[in-house]
Formats: sequence, structure tokens, C-alpha cells
Amino acid sequence: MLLKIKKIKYYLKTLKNYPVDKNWLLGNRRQLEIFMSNNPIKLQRSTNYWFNKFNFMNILKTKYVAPVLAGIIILVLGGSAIASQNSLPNDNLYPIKIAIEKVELAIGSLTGNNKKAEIKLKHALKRLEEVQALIEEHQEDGIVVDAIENLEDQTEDALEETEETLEEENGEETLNKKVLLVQKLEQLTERHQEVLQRVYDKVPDQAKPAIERAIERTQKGHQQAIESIQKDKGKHKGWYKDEDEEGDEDECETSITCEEDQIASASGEIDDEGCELMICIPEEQTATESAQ
Amino acid sequence: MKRGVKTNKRHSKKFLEFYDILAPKVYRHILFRVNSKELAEDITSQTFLKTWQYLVETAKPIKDFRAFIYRVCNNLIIDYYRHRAKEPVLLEHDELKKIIEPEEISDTTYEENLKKILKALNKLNDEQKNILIWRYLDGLSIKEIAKITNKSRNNIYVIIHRALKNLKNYVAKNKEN
Repeated sequence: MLLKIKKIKYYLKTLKNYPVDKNWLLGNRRQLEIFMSNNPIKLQRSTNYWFNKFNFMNILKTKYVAPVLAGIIILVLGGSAIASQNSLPNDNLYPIKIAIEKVELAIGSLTGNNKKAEIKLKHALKRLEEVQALIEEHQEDGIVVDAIENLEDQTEDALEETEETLEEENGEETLNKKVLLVQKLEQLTERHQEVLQRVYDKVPDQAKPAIERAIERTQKGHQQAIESIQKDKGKHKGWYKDEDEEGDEDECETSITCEEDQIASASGEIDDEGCELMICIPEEQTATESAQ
Repeated sequence: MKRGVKTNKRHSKKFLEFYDILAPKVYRHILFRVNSKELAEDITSQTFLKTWQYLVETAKPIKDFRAFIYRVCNNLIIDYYRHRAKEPVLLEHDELKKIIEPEEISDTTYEENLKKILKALNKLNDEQKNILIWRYLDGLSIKEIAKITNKSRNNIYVIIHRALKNLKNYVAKNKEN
């Protein structure tokens, strides 16, 4: 039997499972650590240093600066800036949309307070909507593949920024903001999974691995964000009402494994522990139900 | 001063986090390119030392760390072969057994096919072999590979397509023999 290209790719991917000697990795890490402490990085003064140095520059750090500057940009660029907001990667106005996003991000990093991560998450969501729109418009494969890779990059960027923001050690006040950030990340993750799974069959084959990676990455990023918040919650006990204290809802099993052509649905029946029973029903049935 | 030390600690922490994630991947990448465990270990550790050294010397942040690491290890492999002739070595039979076998493939065919594919992989030219390893073993995107190799995305697509075709032919020939 001849091996098909698909099979060859599959075999190549299994090489990822090749085991690496953990003791060697650890020993090498120690050597690296010693080398790093003997050769520290001599840091250059960052741009933030100069912002701190001159007090008048701190004016730029107020919360009003973002809307004011955005207003100025819209006034200067006029209608094209507004019109560009709905543009897609193959449109003439698209570069303006990206330029405005870059300005928004630059302003966001000046205002601080988790803004940068929040803006990046928002932009990643925009890329997702663009991919969806391109597929619905049946655009050329090349454009769709580029847009998906762009989405992958921007999602990675947004997740890294979010992870970094969540890692920063701060007091209870910022924990509140972190929770909001995780909620935004949650929105992105849900939307991501929903859209990517819907478009998976419609995208060109070469874009499929990028979609798989994007789905995997957002899931992982979301999980890490939740873990990070849980850790912080431990540090500031009492600030955040624990979900377990709110009721028994979470103790109910809400997910069951169904066949391919079936989906999980609530049966409406309540068991002894007060949980609603989940059942598997054929997809067709749900379609007719929703049509009715 | 205090601020500098704090930031330095943060950099070291971040760098070691990257090491934890990337070191096994970089090791596998090198291993399947050079086919020697000792050499793979040596080049992996040099890759991270050189990258830190770069950070010390330039004090500039690296924008795409993964791509940067792969570029450093690529240069080190090229350097190594510049000083000595390339020997066609194959990984030991026992080593391949260590790869966790996917359940759906029966033991004998999996090991046999994998051996044939690895043998064929070594027959490809360096460029095709490297790009296939980056794409499927390391899971890099076309964009990342293009960045590492300084080639266009289209060029990378074409190389992958040809490499897979060649690989298929080599495996088929091997079977006939």
C-alpha cells in the first residue's frame, strides 16, 4: 500500500511526541540560569522613563487622552476613517483601518491600566469578524488564508499581552480590572470557537492547521487566564465572592458526550441532586424545533 | 538601580519560561536534522546561550522569540556542517520506539512506515527537509517559516508541496525495493 501525502504529514506530526530527556533539560536550564546571572542584561532607558521624568508629559496619561485623540484623528481623516471601519483585507480603505488601530494601541499603552491587552483583544475579535465576512463573500483562497494567518498572529499577540498583564503583581484594586479583562478574553474565546468551528469546512485546506492552532491557542490562553485569576483570588481572599458560595449550580454535570450527529441538550427533568438531566438528541430534531 | 534589578529579574524569568516551552521543541528540531542525540543537546544549549548573549549585547527586545530561536539554531547547524562533512546517519531503531504510537495505527506498520519516512526525509535536500520539519514537527506557520528563511510565503508553499511530493516518491521507491 502506498502512503498518501496526507498520511505522510500525519506521520511527520507524530514526531512531536519524541521524548526528550527531562534530566538533561533541567540540568541545561540550571547552566543557563548560572550563565544568565553572570551576564545580566544592561537595560537601556525605556520611553516610559522619559514620560516619568517630565511631569508635563504625564498629562498624556489621563483617561481622557484616548477619546480626545481619537476625535482629532476622525476630524482630520474625515469620513474615510469612519468608512474604513467596515472594510475587509482586500478593500482600499483597509490600511486606514489598520493605521487607526495602531494609533488606538499607541494611545492605549500611554493610558496604561490593562488597556493595551484590552485593545489587542478587541482587534483580534475584529480580525475574526473579517475572516468570517471574507468566507461569507466567497473570496479567493489566498486572501482567506492570509486573513486567517493574520488572525492567528493577532490572537497570539493579544493572548501574550493578556497573560503578561495578568502576571503583573498588583493589589486588590487592579484585580478587579483583571477580572474584567478575563471576561473580555472569555468573550473572545467563545466567539473564536464558535466562528472557527463554523468556518472550518469552508476554508482552503492550507488554512486548516492555522485554524486548529488558533482554536487550541485560545482555549489554552483562556485556561491560563482563569488559573492566574484564581491564584490572585487566593491572595486577596474575601474580595471576590467565590462561585461555589453562590449556589450548587456548578456541581451539576452540564456536559455529556454525544454521537457525531447528536447534540447535548437539557431534558427539563430534575434528578435527586437538583440538577437538570442532560440528554443527546439528533441534530435534525433541534433544527426543526428551532424552525418552529 | 532597584528598578533595573527588578526588570532584569523579570527578563530572566521570562527567558526561562521561554526555555521551558521551546527547549524540547528546539531539541527535537535539531535531532531530526542532525540525527545525533549528543549533537542535538549541544546545539540546543548553545542556541539559548547565544540568544541570551544577544540580549546582553544589544539590550533590545526580540519581537518574535520563537522565530528568533529557530533562526539561531539554524545558523548553528549550518556552522557545524561548515566545519565538517555531512554524514548520513539515521536514528537508532530503538529510539523510534520511544515515540508514543497513535492508538489507531498498529505497532508494526507505524514503526515501519515512520522509519521509511525518516529515511526518505534524509534524502531530501537541506532546504526541503528543514522546511518540512519546521512546518510539521515544530508546527510553525507559513509566515513564521518565511520570516526565518527570508523567503516569500508563496515560495514556502511551493517548497512544501514539492518536498512532500519528493518524500512520497522516495517512500514509494523504498517500498518497491
